Amino acid sequence: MKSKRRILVVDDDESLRRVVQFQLEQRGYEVRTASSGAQALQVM
Amino acid sequence: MPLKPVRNSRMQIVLVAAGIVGTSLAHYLTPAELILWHNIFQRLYYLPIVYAAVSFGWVGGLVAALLSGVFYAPHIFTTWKDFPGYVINQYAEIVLFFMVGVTTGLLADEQREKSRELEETAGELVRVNQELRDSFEHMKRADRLAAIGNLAAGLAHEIRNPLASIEGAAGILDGGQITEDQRQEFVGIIKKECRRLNRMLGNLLDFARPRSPQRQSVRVEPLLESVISLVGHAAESAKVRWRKVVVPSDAVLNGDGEQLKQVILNLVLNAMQAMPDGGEICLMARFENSSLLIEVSDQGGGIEPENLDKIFNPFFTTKEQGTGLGLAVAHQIVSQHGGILRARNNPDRGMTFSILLPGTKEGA
Repeated sequence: MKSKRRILVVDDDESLRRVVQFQLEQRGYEVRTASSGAQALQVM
Repeated sequence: MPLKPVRNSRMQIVLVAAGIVGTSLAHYLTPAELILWHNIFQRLYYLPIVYAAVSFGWVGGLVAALLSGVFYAPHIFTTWKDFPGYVINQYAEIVLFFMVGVTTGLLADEQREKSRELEETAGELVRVNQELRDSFEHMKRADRLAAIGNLAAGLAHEIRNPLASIEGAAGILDGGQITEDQRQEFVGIIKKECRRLNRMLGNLLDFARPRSPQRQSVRVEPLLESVISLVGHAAESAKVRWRKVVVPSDAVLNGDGEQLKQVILNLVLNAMQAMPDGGEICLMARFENSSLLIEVSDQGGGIEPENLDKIFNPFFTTKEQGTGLGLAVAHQIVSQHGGILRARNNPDRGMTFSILLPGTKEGA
């Protein structure tokens, strides 16, 4: 079975990040989040 | 070149003619024995000549001198034909008429040219001045429009974010297929974002419709104490320690206590948010000459130097849940008190906001 596709969500708004993360997870993606560009680079 | 007469000339011509004819009549009607009077009359011609020269330039002077000579000459050789020495004198006087008329006229022309140039320069200056005023007004209007545009853009951004969260959360709740914990989480998000919108609009109204300060004597020490107790609970759980220095301890300021409390509260909240892991907030008040200086220092991360001058702009924020209006409102209130609110990074760590309030008095 193919592994889940991963998406990195970057936004400085905490609520928005959580909502988008949940919606994407419901659609079967593996989601990581970051609140800033610097943090996004760390996650990657 | 003689200039055209600048004023209405008919009256002036009549005056010159009347002067010349009157003087000539006086000559012809006065008996030759009254030599003193003839001496006076022959010089009276200078009045119309000079007047004509001043009014009409060198041509006017020349014409008036010519007329005077023409009217005067017959009198010379009829009355004084037996006194050749005196007659020469009279002709010499006529030559002088011409010289005075033309010279005065030339000088008057030059003067008139100069004043015309001056008038032109003055007119030009008035025009340039008006243009400057117009473009200044134009710039001020453009500046105001740009400020409104910025404000609206910031506001739109700040409203869309919570709205997107609320809409997304509502969609998740609507979709079913979620646990009770998740349901609570997203209801919580909706509530939190509604509160955030509400708070932001409240701040925006404070900012857009500032109330003018109701000044009275306010003791500084209790003012700072009331701010500390306002945030007391939250500060305790955020592990904030306080340091408070008021010199003299009974210092009094003249201002709107409620508004200044809001200013200090906003600065303290800002300081607390800058130190999520706790730290010390220092509140300091002292007099600097005749002004009261209040400083709020934190031990947080400070701010990038390039953002230092944007920190009081409405909707400028570096925080996730900030509205970007707290410091803007604080700045506005301090300005309305005639004071200055400044921010600076501390040399070691954190930053300091300083409020300088003028015209406050020392002691109770």
